[in-house]
Amino acid sequence: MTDRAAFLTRLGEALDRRPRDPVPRAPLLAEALVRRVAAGSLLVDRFLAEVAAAGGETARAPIAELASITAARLATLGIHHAILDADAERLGMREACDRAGIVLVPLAEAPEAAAGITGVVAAVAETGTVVLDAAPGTPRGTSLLPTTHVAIVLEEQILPDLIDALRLPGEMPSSRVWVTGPSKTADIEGVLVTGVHGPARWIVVVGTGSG
Amino acid sequence: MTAPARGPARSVDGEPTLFPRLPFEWRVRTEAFLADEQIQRAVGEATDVKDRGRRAACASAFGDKLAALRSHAADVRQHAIDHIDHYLEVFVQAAGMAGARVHFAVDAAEACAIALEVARSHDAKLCVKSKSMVTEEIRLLEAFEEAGIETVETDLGEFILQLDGDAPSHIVMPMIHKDRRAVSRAFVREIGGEQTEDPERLTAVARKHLRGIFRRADLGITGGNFLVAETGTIVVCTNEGNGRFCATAPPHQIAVVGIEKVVADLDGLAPLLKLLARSATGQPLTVYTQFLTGPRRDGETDGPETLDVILLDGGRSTVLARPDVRSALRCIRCGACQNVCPVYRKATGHAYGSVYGGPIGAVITPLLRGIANYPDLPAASSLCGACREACPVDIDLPGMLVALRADRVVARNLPRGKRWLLRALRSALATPRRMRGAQRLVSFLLGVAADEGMIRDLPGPARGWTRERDLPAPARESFRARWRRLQRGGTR
Amino acid sequence: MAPEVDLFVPCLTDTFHPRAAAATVAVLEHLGCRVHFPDDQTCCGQAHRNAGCTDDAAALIRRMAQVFTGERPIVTPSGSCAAMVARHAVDLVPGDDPDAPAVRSIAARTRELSRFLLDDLRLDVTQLGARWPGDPTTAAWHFPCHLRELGGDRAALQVLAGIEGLRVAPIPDAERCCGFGGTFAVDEPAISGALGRDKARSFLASGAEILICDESGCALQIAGTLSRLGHRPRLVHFAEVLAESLGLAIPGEEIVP
Repeated sequence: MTDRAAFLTRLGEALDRRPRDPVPRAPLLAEALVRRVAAGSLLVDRFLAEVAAAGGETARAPIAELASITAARLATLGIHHAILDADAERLGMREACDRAGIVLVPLAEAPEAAAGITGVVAAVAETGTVVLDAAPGTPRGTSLLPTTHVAIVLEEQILPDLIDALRLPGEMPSSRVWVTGPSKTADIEGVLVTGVHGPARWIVVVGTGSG
Repeated sequence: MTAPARGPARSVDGEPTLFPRLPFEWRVRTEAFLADEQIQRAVGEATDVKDRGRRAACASAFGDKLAALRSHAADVRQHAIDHIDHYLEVFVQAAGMAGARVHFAVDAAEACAIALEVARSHDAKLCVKSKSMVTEEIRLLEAFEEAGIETVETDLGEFILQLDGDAPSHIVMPMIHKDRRAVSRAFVREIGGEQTEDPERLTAVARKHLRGIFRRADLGITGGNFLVAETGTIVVCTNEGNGRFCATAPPHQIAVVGIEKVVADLDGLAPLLKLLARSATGQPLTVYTQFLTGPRRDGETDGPETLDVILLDGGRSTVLARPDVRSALRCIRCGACQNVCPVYRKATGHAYGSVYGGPIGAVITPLLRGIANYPDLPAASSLCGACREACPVDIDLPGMLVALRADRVVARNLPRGKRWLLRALRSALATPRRMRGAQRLVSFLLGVAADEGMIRDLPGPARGWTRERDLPAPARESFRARWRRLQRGGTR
Repeated sequence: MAPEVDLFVPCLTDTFHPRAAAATVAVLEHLGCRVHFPDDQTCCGQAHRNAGCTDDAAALIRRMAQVFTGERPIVTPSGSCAAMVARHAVDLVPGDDPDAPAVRSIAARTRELSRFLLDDLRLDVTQLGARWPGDPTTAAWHFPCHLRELGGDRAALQVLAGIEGLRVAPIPDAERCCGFGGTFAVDEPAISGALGRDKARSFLASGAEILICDESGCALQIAGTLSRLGHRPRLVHFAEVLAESLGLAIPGEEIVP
């Protein structure tokens, strides 16, 4: 196997650079060009409009009723099983699902027809994106394995622009995923089909008002 | 129940589709695909739709800022490439801190050997792979199959191609050349799918089949759209979610990534991610944009326990060493240049005899695999410039095609007829007197050959012209002759 | 004071479409220019540059720079040759070469005709006073790919819009190459031919009676393809349309039709 020093030295030689040659700063982000949504805009409306444009179903609810409205919505969709991650539990989804008659199951035993209910670490108004981090209590599979993914977003979690999502504080988790829509393909003659590997149905609920 | 090993896909010339015998002559395939109405219709329609999607999405998102944004995105990529040794070092440090193992592969053989060694160390029997051009480039699947490790493509298009013993023909839409009937036949034959040609039903068949495989797989293989140096992160953009599955379900993961994918920092991703999906499919973002930084951490219950990253040179350092074509490495593989290219749309992907077709392929295939091996590709362009206009990172593709043509001239490797034609033209244009003489001669000869002002048959290297269309006869009097006549007559 | 201009007539235009060049003279003179035609000129070297014959192209561009001395704008009725001189010529001659200043000079002075009319002469198309001679009709305009290198917008189309009695629209799918591409047309006849047929059919489907094509190479490709398909529509350069609509005598036309 090629050793790292030899490999990188070869590249430096191709570039006509010596190992200690200084590296100028990377180009600064041209925010005036790149940013599409400024802070202080009407973020909730924009966010939900973009979620819908990406093929998501949307709902909003005052924070006090967020869990019960979400659970009731799932019940009307005929969903009988749900998987919760730790964030969804914190938002009161366990009790709400019990009241709505939705059976909670662990991820490993869940039928595909279940709904995976997650919180988010942030959301992006520009594109209708939700940001999910892997961590103890928030596994990668909850938003991926079931046919329905429900993302619960608090109003104050909505960032204006993707730039802001790239600048979330703290170190990068093992897996961060930006989700913008249900799983999609157009591989067969360009016909759009949802639910290839991931969820066919993507529901985003925004809790409004202070928590 | 899974795809049987069957060796590399073969094309109409009997040669392996993406790795033909070299030097590769593209004409046999081009002419066959031009005559294939199904391929012409499928590729024409799909590229049209995506091209319109790109234009609409970029115009509505960026308006008159688009040109400046593309140039900014180009700067971000160029900076990283110009200091790639530095940024890879930074990447290795950061990825290592996060627990990933990073390997370096000078060429395809070494990359496959490393991947196999990793797979064997985990005693892997069944691998799942997400869509990745670089794994096509190194023929990873063939290497794994030869080693007896079953490996299944999980991108829907790539999965169908694998079942059918076929190969991708577009960077973003791998099975652009196939229609639903072909998919249906492959599913019925290979995985006992129901008789249907409905894309939704067909997709459901694939989903069910691949779910079973994901559950059993012990190794996931992905590519990477970007490497973020500062954080040691691999960015993977997909729409179907197979990339997520490959980084969620199996206990181990390998990511194979070309070295040129590195960017300095997360900020640098902003212009690139905003342009990538819009340029590829017209979406604001792909459905899933994953940022993978090391394997799963303490307390996490899914995701791979190990992550091995294989960084591939594979000829990229020779591109780095040439300042006139180095910026081809900026490419973010959006496929926009393919969708807009008149030549790609007619010749179609497999005519290029390589993993990368279209304008970017006509540039990087000869560079990565030797210009003498792909002598036709740089000439296979009308230099219309549509690719350059579409490229989100401002790669001067026509300029590079011209540079590669010049390589061929310097190597005295032009076909005889063409060399003769260009030399004759050069000599005729050397002085006004010779030009007048040549014009008179051509005008006379063609005038004699013309029938109602059109020449229908020409000999020698010009036969290619009249094989396809007539040639209007030259004017009886050139402009310069007319001007002299007027001057002599005193009116000028 | 009448602006003085040098006329550059590319080799294909000179050989196949001299009337376009003569009409260019008529239009420029009508708009008050004094037109000079340096008759030592031959070619800009575009075909050689595109074919990768860099040395030949450099020799031709040096030659052109030695012919077009002085400060006058260099006007040409071809977008691709204008792009060759304005965009690519300087790359063919090293910056410290004795010919480099002259090459930079022609690069800075070279203009495609329609751009020259709008940008330099500031032509007001609403005041053009041009009327199509004969019955009102429709024309389809061909977008030559090389305009992309000159800013991409469609100056000729703007000028043509000022002509009464002539409705001009781009050929449908305007921005798709007609497949000419210089040596490409003979290097890759099958693809070039297929693209030419697409373009010809787009023109036929447009129902227009006249085809306006400002690029000699494209004109050979499209007219030759239409002819092979059994069609012989009138094909003209926009300078010819303009000269005819302004009722101008085209120099040399008295004797040679």
